[in-house]
Amino acid sequence: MTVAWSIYLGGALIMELVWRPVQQIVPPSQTGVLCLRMGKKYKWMALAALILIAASQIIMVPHGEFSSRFASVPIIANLNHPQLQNWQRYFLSLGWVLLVAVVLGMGTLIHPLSHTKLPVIASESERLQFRKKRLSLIAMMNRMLRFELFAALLITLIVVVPYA
Amino acid sequence: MTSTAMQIIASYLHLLAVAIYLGGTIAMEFVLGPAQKYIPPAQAQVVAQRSADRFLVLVWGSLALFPISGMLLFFSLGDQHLVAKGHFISSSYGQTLVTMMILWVVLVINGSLITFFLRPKLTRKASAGTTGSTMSGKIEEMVSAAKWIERITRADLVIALFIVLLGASLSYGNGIL
Repeated sequence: MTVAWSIYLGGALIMELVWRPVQQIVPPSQTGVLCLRMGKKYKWMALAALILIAASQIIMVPHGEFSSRFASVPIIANLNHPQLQNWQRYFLSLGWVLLVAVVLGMGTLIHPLSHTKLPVIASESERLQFRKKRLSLIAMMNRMLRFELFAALLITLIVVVPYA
Repeated sequence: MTSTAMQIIASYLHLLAVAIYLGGTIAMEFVLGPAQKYIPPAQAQVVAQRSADRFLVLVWGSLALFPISGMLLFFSLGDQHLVAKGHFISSSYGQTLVTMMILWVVLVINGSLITFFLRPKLTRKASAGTTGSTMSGKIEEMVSAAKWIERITRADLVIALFIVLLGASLSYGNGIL
């Protein structure tokens, strides 16, 4: 679970802290190519990590016993952790669903839409409209990526808040 | 500061460091790296250089955070008795902890090799008046450095995964060694 969560959070952090600033120095056409290729891989990586989190949670359910000494270690969010309160369980479960929805929404809807090509015989007004739509889709995706990172960081915090 | 507050801060920083190191390396190796093949080589080099510069800062930050947050976590949990009076070597907990520390040192050595030895070879520019044979030698050196960086990064990834496994074994019990 820790590995899967690290892959997910690390990927989101790299997109924000490494890719976004680098994007500014690359010509827009090349940025488009990189975004298209990276977006596809990132979607699968993020989804695989989120599925792995759910799978490891399911595997952990029958093994809810923790050694008493480490029952207070808030390093791995296991939903059947004895010191986890119900609101935290709901928050973590809901957070997972939300992250899956965001990744799916970006990967299957907004990202492919932002990379559709303009028909060759488009008029000037169609070109303008197309450009406007693409820019708004890119802006929406940027907002979603930031929201995704914020949610992931918040979930990490909920994992480590005192269980008392 | 209370022990609980210390635990929260230490755990949060520890998780962030693991995420940046492990998840970051995977994202750089398997998402950003392969995508660069689809743009012109000159642009790909700029992207690779800038992204590696930024990523290395994050890597060194997380490598520094591992022992700091780990020690904070260790002391805030009051686990000193587990490794006191020679238990450091004899107990499973101590052995797991020592192995994690040794592997961390390996990561630092590998990181230093990449940052101070291999990467400068990639970023070195040819001076004016460089002959053809010197140039091809330099290119060969760059290709070899790039290959070594890739090998070391993959090895670091495996080591980091093993460290996480060891860390998880400490969280769920007394270590696995």
